[in-house]
Amino acid sequence: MATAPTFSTDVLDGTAAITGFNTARDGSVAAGETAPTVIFTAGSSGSIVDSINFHTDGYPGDCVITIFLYDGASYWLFDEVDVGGPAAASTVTPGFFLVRDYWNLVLPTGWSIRAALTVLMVAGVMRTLVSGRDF
Amino acid sequence: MATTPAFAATPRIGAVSVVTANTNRDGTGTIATCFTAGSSGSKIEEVVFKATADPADSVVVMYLYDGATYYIFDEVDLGNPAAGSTTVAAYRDRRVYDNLVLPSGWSLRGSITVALTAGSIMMIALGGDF
Repeated sequence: MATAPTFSTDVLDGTAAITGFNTARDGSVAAGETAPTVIFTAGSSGSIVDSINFHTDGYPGDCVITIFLYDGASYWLFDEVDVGGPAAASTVTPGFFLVRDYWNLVLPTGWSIRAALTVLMVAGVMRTLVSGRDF
Repeated sequence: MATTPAFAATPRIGAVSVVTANTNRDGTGTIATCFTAGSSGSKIEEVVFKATADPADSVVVMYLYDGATYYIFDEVDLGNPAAGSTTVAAYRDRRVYDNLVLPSGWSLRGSITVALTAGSIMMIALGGDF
């Protein structure tokens, strides 16, 4: 049993770009679809994730972002972001942007966070920025 | 009595898919194991309930199990949420606990009172081992 609190050490920013689409909510991949993208992997002593930023440089369709916890063998659907049908980014319109904050999202070593779009983007990609820390 | 405080040392996630209907609240019937305490016990900070498709109007029943007896601990009323689709996010809820410790040998388990119309409920416990 630990006699001192476990503090996080290294501050991490995981970045990724989600492309393609996947309509499943169980991590499976149908023909023509794309496997969920790894957006954050836990460190060797585990990690804690504080927030995930989603932003696009283009034009998402009316879709949902599915967010999975992956333990190395199984996908566990953890959260979803309803993107709605936002306007396309342009020189006068900002692209879709959303932040999900988490307070207790610990990841044991070997686990990762993966994400997918349910509908192919009309243009561009959905970028993610995961802010977290390693233990 | 301990002379130093005990802190959780290792992050842990417990996860299970809850599917089978069970109308009981006494520990009988099908109950899924979500999180089993580590050898020195564990602390659970939060439990997330995430539908993969379309839950029926139902309740998730949570138990603490000591290896012999089920103790009903909490319930989550799902209501009758909309089905998830490519354009609609499926049901999600969470419970945050300040003091949910599990001694070694205990586990957190869950069941659902009505069979889902489609999919399952992911019951995900976030915590750590002492």
